[in-house]
Order: sequence, then C-alpha cells, then structure tokens
Amino acid sequence: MMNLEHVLKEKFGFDKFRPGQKEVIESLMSGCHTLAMLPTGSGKSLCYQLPAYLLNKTTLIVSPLLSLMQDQADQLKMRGEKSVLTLNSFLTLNQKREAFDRLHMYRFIFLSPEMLSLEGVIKSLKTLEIGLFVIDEAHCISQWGYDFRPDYLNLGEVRRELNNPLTLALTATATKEVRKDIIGKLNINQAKETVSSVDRDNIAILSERLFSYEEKLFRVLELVRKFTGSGIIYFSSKKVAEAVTGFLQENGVDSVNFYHGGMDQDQRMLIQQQFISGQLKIICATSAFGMGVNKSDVRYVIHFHMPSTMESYLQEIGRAGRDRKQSVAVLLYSEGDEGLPLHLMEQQLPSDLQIEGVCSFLSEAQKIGANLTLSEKEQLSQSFSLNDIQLRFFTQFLTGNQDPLQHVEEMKEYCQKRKSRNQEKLHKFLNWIYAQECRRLGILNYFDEKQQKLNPFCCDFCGMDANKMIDLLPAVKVEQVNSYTTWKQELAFILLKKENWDEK
Amino acid sequence: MNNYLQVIILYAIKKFQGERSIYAIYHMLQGKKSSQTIQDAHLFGLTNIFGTIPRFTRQQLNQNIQLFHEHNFIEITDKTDAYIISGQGGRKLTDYLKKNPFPTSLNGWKYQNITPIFWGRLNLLIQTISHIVHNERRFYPIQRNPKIQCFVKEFLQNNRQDRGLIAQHLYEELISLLELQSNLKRDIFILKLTGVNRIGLTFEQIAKRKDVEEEYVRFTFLDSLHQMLAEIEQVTDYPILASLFSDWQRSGNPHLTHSTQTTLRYIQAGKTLFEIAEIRRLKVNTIEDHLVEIVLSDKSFPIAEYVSHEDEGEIIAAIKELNTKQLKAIKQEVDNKQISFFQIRLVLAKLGDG
Repeated sequence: MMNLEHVLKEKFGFDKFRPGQKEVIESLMSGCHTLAMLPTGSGKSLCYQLPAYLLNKTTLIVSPLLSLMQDQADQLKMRGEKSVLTLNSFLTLNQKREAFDRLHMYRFIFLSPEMLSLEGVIKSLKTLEIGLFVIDEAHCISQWGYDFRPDYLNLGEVRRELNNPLTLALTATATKEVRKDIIGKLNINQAKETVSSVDRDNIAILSERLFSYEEKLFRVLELVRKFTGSGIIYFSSKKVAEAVTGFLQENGVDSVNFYHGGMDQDQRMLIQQQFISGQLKIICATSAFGMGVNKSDVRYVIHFHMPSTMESYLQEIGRAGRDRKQSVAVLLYSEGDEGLPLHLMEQQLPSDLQIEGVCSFLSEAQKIGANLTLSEKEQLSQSFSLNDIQLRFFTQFLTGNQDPLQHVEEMKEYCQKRKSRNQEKLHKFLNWIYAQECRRLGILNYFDEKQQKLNPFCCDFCGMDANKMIDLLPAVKVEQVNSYTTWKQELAFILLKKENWDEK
Repeated sequence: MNNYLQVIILYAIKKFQGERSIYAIYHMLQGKKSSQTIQDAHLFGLTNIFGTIPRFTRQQLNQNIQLFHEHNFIEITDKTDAYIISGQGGRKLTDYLKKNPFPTSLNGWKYQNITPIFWGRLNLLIQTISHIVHNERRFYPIQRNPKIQCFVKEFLQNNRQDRGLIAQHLYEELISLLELQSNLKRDIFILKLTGVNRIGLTFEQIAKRKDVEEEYVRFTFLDSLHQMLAEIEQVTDYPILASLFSDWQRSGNPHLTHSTQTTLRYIQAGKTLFEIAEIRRLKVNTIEDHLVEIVLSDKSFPIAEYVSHEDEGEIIAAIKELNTKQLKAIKQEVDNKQISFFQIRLVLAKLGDG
C-alpha cells in the first residue's frame, strides 16, 4: 500500500490526517463503495481529493448547491490544482461546448444534479474513465432526511448508466435510517460505512429559557458583549435578523451585520468575506448563511430562533470551533417559538386545495409542469398564490406526459407524508429542548450513538452556563482596526508596496 | 420622501408629464429592451436613469405610487395609471435634490450593460493585483462570476509586465479619474474596493458610515462608474482601464439591441424595410421599430427615404403646436391620411429630448 501520509504532505501540506479521513480513503483505495459521515468542518473534501490523485482517473462530484460547488472548486484551484471543471448553468453555450470537448482532461468535474438530467451530459460522461463518483451532501437523496432534494433521486439511475463506478457518499448529519436509505437509493449495497461521532466535544451546548422577544434582545446584547471572538446569530426571519442587527448597533456593538437570502448576491458576498477575514465580528443570519463558509475561529453560535430539526441545529452549531478550540452554542427558547418553523414548514409544500387547483388548471391547458414558460409560471403562482418552493414542487413533480389530474392523489399523499415527517422531526427537537437530561446525551441518542467519554464543559444540564464560558473561551488578539485616512492614501494601501505609501 | 428610489420615481413622473402610465417607469428603470421603452427614454429625456435598477419590482413601484398618492405628491389624470406631479410633489422633489443632487454623469441607456461587467472586472483585478504586490498568493475571489474570473486571468496572462508596474499604472489612472469626481463619489468608490487585508463595504454599510441614504449611495456609485466610463472613452490616457471594456466598445453600436444591429447592416447594404422584413422573416412593424431605435441613437441618421421633407415639416409643426409627444394627438393634428404613425415616431425620434 502506498504511503498515504506522504501524499497528504506532498499534495496538501498536512502532516497528519484528521479523525475519520484515513479510514475513508483506505476504504476507497481498497475498492469499496463508501458512505462517510463526517461532521462539518472536519475536512470532508480531502476524502475524495486525495484518492483522486492516487486513482489518476476522473473524479465526478455531485453537489447540491451552486455556491458550495464553486467554493470547493475555488479551494482546489487556490491550492494550485488546474484541472478543475464546474459544470453549471453559469457557463455560456460556447464554454459548455468547449468543456465537453475537453472533458477527459479534467481531474475534478463538479456537477449540479440538474446538469445530470440534461440530454447529452450522461452520454459525454460515459466516454470517460471515471475513477470515483462522489455525492456530496448525500442525505439530500433521502426523503427521510431533513433536506430532501427531488433532483437527487435519479442519482441511483445515473450511477447505473455510468457503469457503477466506485462511489463515495458524503454527509455530515444522517441518522441510521437515512444512511440506510442513501445506500439503498444509490444501490451500493455492499458499501462500507465509516461513521464519525456527531459529537463536537469542543462546543459547549447551552439552552436558555426566556419569556419575551424583548428579553431575548437584551440577552443577545449581553452575550455578544461578554463573548470574545467571532459569532453567528441564527434567525428564522429576515426581518428579525435585520431588526436585531439594528438593535445591537444602536447599543454600541459596531462590528455586526445581517445576511439573508433577500440581499443582492454582491452584497452577500461582501458580508460573508468580511466575516471570514475578521473585518466583521458578528453576523445575524438566516439559514442561508454558512454552507461553504470556511472560517475556523467562530467562537459562538447563538440561536435567536430554534431551527426545525436536530440535523439543522447540529449543522449550524457545527460552524463554531473548527479550530478545535473551546467554543459555545446558545439556544434561546421561549414558549411558542415552534410556531415559526411550523409555519415555514407548512409553506414548503402546497396544500390539497392548491394541488387540485393547479392540476386541473394544467390539465385543461394541456400543459405539463416541466415545460411551462416563465410567464405561465408567474400566472400560475398568482392564481393559486404559490411561493417559489411550492411552484418548484409542481414543475419537478409533473414531468411526465400523463394528465396532471392522474397525479392528484399521489401528490396529496406525498405532501401529507412529508408534512407529518417534518412535524415529527420538529417535535423531536422540541422534546430535546424540554428534556431534563444532558443535552449532549440527547443529541447522541438521536443519532443512535453511545457516549464515549464525559465532557468537562458539557452543557447547561451538566453545570455549564454562559458566564463560566467567558473564562473558557480562548483569548482573542485584538486586531488594529484600520481607520479611513484619505481616499488617495487608501488607494495607495491597496495597490502600492509599503515603501511607496508615504510619498503619495 | 425618505429614499432615493422615491426621488427617481417622482422625477420620472415629472418628466412623463402624465403622457405615459407608471408602468412605463417600471420598464424604464428595469431597462426593458423594447422599442417603446427605448423611444420613451429619449422622448422624455430619461436616458440617464434607463436600466439603473434592474431588480426593480412592480410591487416596489405600486407601494411608492400609493405612498405618493397619500401624501398628495401626485395627481391622477384622465388616463389610466398615468399621473402628474403636484405642486407639493414638485417642491418636495426640488428640496430633496438640493440636499442630494441628482447624479450628473449617469447614463444608463448607454452604459447599463457594461457597468456591472466593468465593475466586476475592475473589482477583481484590483483585488488580485493588490495581493500579488503584497506577496499574498492565496485569496478568495470577491467576484464569483466565472466569466469575470476568466477575463482577469486572461488579462494578466496577456500583460506580462511586472505586476508592481501594472499596480502603479492602475493606481495612477484611478487617481487621475477620481480627481475629477466629488468627495462623496471618491469615498464611495474607494470603500467599495477589496484588496489585501480589506473587503469592500456594502451600500448599506457605506450609507451608515457616511450618514446618507442607502439608495443614494447606490446611485452615486453608479454615477461614479459612468463618469469614469465616459472619461475613459473620450481620452486615451487610461490604457489599463480602457482594456477592461474594449471588447464592448469593439462590438459596434453596443447600445443597440442585437436584432436592431442586424437590421442596421441591411439598411446600410441598401435594402428597403420591406425587403429586410422578408429576408429576416419579421413583421414590417418590427423593422420599423428598429429604424426608430437607430435614429434615437444617432440623430443624424438620414430619414428622408422614409419621410419626405414636406411631411417632416408638417409633423414638426403639429408637435410644436400641441406641445405633446402623444402619437394620436399629433396624428389628428396633421390630419393627413398619408402620414403614418411610423413617420411621426421617426420625426419624434429625430427631434429627441427637446
């Protein structure tokens, strides 16, 4: 067997593997399909990047989010890897054609799932010698998962068409049930599972009970004043994220800004990069923030609103403490908070009435969901007051040539099932908030794990609180804040070498 | 009034003088590439704001119209959805513009397509050069669009000069352009930049810092970019910055729509409008729209082949008499069955904003 550590040093500059990585790579190198569950921020991508160099054949990576895909590609490029291709709808026709002509030249090909459903793509991919087929965020394939994506469903079929290449399914959070589903859907029955613990032992887990919105406001203010270092505060509402940002700023917390999906792409990028670079200390964000954000020294994550599942909660608090240093998660809960996620969940699927209405409308117009023009979609949304997610449900569900009316019952049943699934997940999470037991133990139970060792700075049940955390968080170097001088001087700082600054 | 978006909308209502519905404003700000919108932009002197808010929504428009209505800034007319500015609204607008002057260099009609591309390239080039000069090899590109990234990469491959030298020249070009601009514009431009050890600020952050309103910051930044573009086009002193949009300049009459450019080539080859319609399998109406668009972009374009001097004089007289830009009214006034709406539009186009 080749020396994996040697390759690690040569290609990636690291001396040691992080927990779980070597196991996954060894499993793949021995030719086993592998399902790897590794917590966020534990270096999941290395698990396919290193084998790609050893196998020396094309590695295909399917990734659910455009931004995620681009991030990973950019990180590879930053390391000096040149043969990286991202296939997405951003490319012009010419670029696509060129890319397909030179497909065999790339070591890494990133694809969004919808690209795989385009005609011709599979055909081109078939001409390649695929060394490794990687499915990132593999839990999206499971309807039991918390982030099901219908366009992930045909990945099993794609795999078969590509002649069953060696496969790596990657996920950060998946229950036993979901892992079983992933293996089944991808048809990799003999797959080896390497499951790391979901427990992040350097994050203390605190939940606090409050009684009003105002109380929460002042508690957040208190917490961000006490904690040193960078932090993320999560919200389920854009409006509240903005309002709390304003409140903090009014109370003298300067280095804070909001981030949500309603902002321009450009502005979002700036906020994200300001946060990563340390220019901005605190972010008030919706769940749109975090995927692909590589920042190792986030010290705390505060939940102003509760997330709707244990999986999302873990994913979100997992953005703290990637440098392995002591960090803390604080969930602020007041009675009735579950109303908001419940409401949001309702809105993610169409109601029975909407299903009936849309289907009979489409049936009369003799259209199928997949072929609607933009203005037809707009009209449909208006007449049946559908939001974007609900509309997408129809365009994805009604792709065949059959009369939409024939699908009504099937769709209703499906939605019913998904809704009760989601509610069940929310209740489990709520139970965890109310439970009178160690929080860490509760999380481990949820994922059918056994506790390995006791954690000295565990959770609020085990005697931790925010005040005690203050002394435990690592000291932060206070960085000099650049103050704006003159516009000329600032431009000189950016573009000129230091020795030329002053003469200007 | 509390934001600049409202100022822009009210300004447009004032310019339209009740001759167009508010949805014309919507298309105008979005920069809709239809002959009607393009013609309106010229007829009513709104080429500056054309396409300056691509993300403008109907909802935003309706909310603001309702607000204006409640505050009596506008008055209804006998045309549906058309309003005129009230005395009160006019005073408010003037007051506001005194404090926050209207962007003087804004030219949306000409630059709306190239502005985001020019800025994207400049933004990423500065970030890249800044890191290279300070010996930082790794950074996360602030511009995510692969086309922009490709451009900057090729730019640096084609310019093999010493990176420090490129930085020096870029610095000098920017300084001399910014010297021509107001304090506020300069500061906003600089604060938007990303370089080593700094990430650009959002419009919202700049607004807080400068204690002005967010939309105003956005428009002032646009104004700053348009002023640069115009200056770079006129003078040859900015080789680096000019190369950031020379592909756009080379593409002929870039502000004409693609289809209109094709029509123009046929006209220049001596084809009649009917022949062009036949060749291109388009309606004659469409080709006529193209011609109007061409005349709008080039007032000296000869139209004698389409309107006789005599008819032109008659139409001009009617326009002057009525002091309107409404086709129907003008047609009634000339009272000559031989003169078509198309001919009136051509003459209007030639007269321009006046």
